[in-house]
Amino acid sequence: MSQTFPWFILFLPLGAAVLITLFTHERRELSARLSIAAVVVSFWLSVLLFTDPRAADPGLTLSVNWLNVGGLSVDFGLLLDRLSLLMLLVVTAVAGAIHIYSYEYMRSDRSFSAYFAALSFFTFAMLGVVLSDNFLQMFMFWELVGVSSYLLIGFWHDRPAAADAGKKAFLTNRVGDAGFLAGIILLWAMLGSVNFDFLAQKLAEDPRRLGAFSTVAGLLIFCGAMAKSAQVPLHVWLPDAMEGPTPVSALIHAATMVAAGVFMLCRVFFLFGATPQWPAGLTWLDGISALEVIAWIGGITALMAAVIAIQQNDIKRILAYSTLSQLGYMVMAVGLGGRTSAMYHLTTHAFFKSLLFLGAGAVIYRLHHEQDIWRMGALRHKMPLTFGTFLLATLALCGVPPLSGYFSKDALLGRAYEQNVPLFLLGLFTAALTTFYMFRLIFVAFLGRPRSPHIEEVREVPGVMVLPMLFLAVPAALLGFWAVNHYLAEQFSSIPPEPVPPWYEQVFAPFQHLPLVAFLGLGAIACGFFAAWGIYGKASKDPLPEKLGGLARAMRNRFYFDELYARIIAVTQELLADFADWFDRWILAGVGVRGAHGTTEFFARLLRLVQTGNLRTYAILFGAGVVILLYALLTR
Amino acid sequence: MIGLVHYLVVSALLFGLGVLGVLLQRNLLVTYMSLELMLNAANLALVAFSRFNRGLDGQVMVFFVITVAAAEVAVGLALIVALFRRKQTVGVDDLTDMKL
Amino acid sequence: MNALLTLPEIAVVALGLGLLLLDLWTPPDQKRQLGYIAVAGLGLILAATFTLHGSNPQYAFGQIYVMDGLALFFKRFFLLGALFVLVMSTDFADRFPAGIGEYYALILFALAGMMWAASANDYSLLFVAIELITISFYVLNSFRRNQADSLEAGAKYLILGALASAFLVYGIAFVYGGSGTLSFHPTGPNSTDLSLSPIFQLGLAMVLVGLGFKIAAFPFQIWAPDVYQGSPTPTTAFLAIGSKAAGFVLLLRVLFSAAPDVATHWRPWWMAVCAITILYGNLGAVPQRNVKRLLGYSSIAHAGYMLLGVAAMSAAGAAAILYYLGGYLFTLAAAFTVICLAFRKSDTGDLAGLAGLHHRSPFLAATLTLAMVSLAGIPPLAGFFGKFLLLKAVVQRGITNPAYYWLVAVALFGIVVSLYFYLNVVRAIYWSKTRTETAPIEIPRLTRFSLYGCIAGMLYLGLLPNTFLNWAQEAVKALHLN
Repeated sequence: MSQTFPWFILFLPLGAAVLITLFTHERRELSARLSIAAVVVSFWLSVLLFTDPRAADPGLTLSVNWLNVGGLSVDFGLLLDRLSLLMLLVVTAVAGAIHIYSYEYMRSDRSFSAYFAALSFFTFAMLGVVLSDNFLQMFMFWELVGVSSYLLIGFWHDRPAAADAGKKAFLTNRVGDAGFLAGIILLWAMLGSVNFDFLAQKLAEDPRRLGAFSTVAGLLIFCGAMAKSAQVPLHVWLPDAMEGPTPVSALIHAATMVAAGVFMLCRVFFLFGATPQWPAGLTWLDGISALEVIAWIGGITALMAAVIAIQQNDIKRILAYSTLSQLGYMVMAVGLGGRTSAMYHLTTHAFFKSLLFLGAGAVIYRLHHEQDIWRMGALRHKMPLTFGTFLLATLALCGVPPLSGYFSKDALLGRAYEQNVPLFLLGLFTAALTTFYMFRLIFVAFLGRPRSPHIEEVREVPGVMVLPMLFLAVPAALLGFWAVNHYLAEQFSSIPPEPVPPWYEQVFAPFQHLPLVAFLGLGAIACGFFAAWGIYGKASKDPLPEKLGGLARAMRNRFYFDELYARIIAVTQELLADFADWFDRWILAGVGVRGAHGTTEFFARLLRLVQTGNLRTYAILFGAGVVILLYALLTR
Repeated sequence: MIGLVHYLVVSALLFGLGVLGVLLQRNLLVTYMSLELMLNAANLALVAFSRFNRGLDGQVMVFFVITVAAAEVAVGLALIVALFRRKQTVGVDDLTDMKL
Repeated sequence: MNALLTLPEIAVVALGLGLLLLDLWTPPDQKRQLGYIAVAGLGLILAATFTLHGSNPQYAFGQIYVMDGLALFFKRFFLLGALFVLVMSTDFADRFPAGIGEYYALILFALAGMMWAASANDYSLLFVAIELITISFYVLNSFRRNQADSLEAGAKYLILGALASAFLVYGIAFVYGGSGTLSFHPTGPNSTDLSLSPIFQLGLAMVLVGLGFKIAAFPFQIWAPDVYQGSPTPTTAFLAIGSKAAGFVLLLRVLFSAAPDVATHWRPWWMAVCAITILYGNLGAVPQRNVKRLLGYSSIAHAGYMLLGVAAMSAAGAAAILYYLGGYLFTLAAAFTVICLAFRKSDTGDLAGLAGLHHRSPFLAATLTLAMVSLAGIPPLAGFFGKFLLLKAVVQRGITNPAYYWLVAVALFGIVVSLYFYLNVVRAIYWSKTRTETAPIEIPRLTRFSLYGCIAGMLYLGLLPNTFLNWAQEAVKALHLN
């Protein structure tokens, strides 16, 4: 069964998308059901495949020859190993839940069928990335992910902002992909193949094979991940991409597309095993390896995004920046050589973050597309199930034991502690910030008093939407006990991993392994939580902008020390947040929207000098061209 | 004794005159005549080379060029006439509707 | 001496003349039907070319005309392109004041010129073939003679085209003076020395001016945007597909078959021309608000990409050019067919006119989107694979000559920029608010089939490049590159 199942898993969603586009376009219900059925079957097959012991070890490649032209041969292959099996499971599970959720969420939309076609097509593209066994195939699916995300982000045709966001996402990704493509071509030209296994073998035999281009090749490939996984400075597209429908955000921006970059880095990790070397002109960079650059970019992204998240008021934007920050963690882990912990965090994050997005979606759905948290409040009583799952996911994100995020974040911080202490401290600080901004969200949106008259009418969302949330809540809570890191370590590390301890011991395992890291991690969570409680526990509006009033209130507070501490943190944070936000908006986003407009104007002006429309000018330019060409060619 | 170089110099002068005419004249008809002048400069060069290379290829080529030039003139003049009917002008500088 | 070799061209010309005759007896309201005869005839000729073989070069007219793999590849290419253009013209017929019969015939004559260009093995045939194409296009460009734009486009193409022709002829004269023959393969004891003589080089450079004009490469690209914008849409399509490809087949033959030493000698300049062409086309397209004009700039950019294959100077590069042209054919045919239908009333080509196209016809909207995505080089469409092969050919050269890496960087930059303006078109289709036209678009059956063909071609070349790439590699064996 492991021979045919992967093909079905991959092509079922595509089949649904094609069927909907060609035949069932007019029949909304049928289209949605087709699409949901395809993904659910894919998920079921993934589970079967995952539990089949023969599938994972020693791994399996199914391929048909795709391209065979004069000396170069590329297969269309599906690569099955522990990495891709795990990822298959994550993608199909989250995609399945979101398909079902969308059935209700998008019900009133005019282009219901088209939405499901695009969603299924996206799932197909993402599964393609996961299963690819060579660079070229991966790049094709990689771009398809970009195209389908463009369709989904810009799905609401009547919103120009959605069109801009879709375009920005696509363009930013394209910048990274240009580097990715250059890296692939470079590898192909130097090693003669694009197959992962083949390349890994070649580099294992001789780490110097890439010569002076080893670091450059690694960084070019990383460019692709930098755009897809939204790392600084190519992160600008992700917050804007929140213009898409919320289930799309849950799928694309929590579990799949943005995770593709991290997944890809893990898949091609062998590249970074090559001896670092720079080409002739760049030898002054000697001593810097590609992995170091990756780790620092990840760390900076994690911190910066967390700081920005503190001052956001749009519920989806908070989650978006939080995603950025967590992706930064994962990339940092890859850069520190911790593939296992990166994938571990990717897996747990996929579940709890998509759960958070679905919860936010439920709130937005009931509040008629209100997204400002300062116009929510007291939702706890109105939407108990949504609140329960949202809180659970928040706790998991913060890393509270014994929820899933606790294990993965600890593994990650542990790795950083062992490898690079500055990055560990940075990660720890980010963890405190994470708890702070997430509880700010909880306190303001779900607790406290109602902040807008609409709150009274709010009811719990229908069962079709609650069910996927409950389904995702299970792994978000319990995934930690199923030791993903042990599962992956079988493939990634040469040392056989220790046997998995019984579940009741697992909770304490981090404290035995690296007690300092575990305690500091808990301490960071506590700091963040109390700071948020102190500032936002009873706030009716954001006190941070009005420093003095907030300070006066803090003095009267009985948590005097906590408040002061929180205030100091908060003020510095605010400065940092302002700066980061400014940097984000003016320097980085400038390249995206503002910059694009400016460049258009600039080229238009230049062009008016040349393309005057006057035939004589054209003739003169033509003549000048001839003179230049003749001069250039004949003096050569 | 008149040699190859003399022919080539005359041909180059003709060609240069043609180029200048195309670049500087404001009347579409005169521009077009200048273009024909350039073709004839090429013909002169071809015949001269043919004579001094002791081959006939160049002279055959000249017939091709003359034929093509005739066709070009027929089509080109028709186009200029149509343009004049539509816009009442044959000024080169009046054709600037499309730009940027 | 085997005149029968040129039978495909003779058949095309005969078809054109036959149409002109038939036109005399056809009542005016049925003249549009003549296009279907032309399409059927071309289909037959295209099918018949598959009985020909090009593996062993055969010569006719004293080595002036050659029939080899490259020639055969391009003949089929031109026939297929003309088929799409003719189908487009049948939709366009009611927008001409008169003379649709002549329009079909002129397309066929230009096609014959392109097919002869594919077989040119001598500067005289090169010249005659190019002039046959160019003069046909003078008329095709200005065929809507009641429209000022069309006439302006015609006049601009006329003057600049004639200027390029004059340089071409003058260049041929010097090539002849330098080598003593008009053949691409000068024979004799001192033929290799001659190829480096200054007079020969001067001539060759001027020949390249003429060819550069045809493919719209820098610095002879200036005409393209205006002419693309003003010409009737089928003409623009044929200019973009056929005329450019004819320029490329001649460029390949002249550079790599007739003067390989000089071509190698000038290598740095190919790289410079290629880089500037890519930049000019892509950056120039950024502020455009007119689809046809935008495609004019994009055609400059694509000429630049294909020049990457020339700059690579390898068989892989030449094969990549052929492959790229194949994808370009389907993509542009699809794009222009949609433009032709979408601007039925106005024919301005203004981007605003595309607003609401997905309500007027979801199929056309999707087709145009696919075409734009393919032009931008997104997998799995044809445009991606072409660019990939071209870049790979250049990178392979880069291992010995690092200057090529700069070329790769410029090309990648161009590809990123290009996405911006192609997405502008997509955005105009789906996200525009103001709609000038709302009537649903009726798609004639033949046009629908031609669009299906284009989509299938784009997907086939992108997904299963094997067969076509093998053809391309077989074809470039005629150039004896390594």
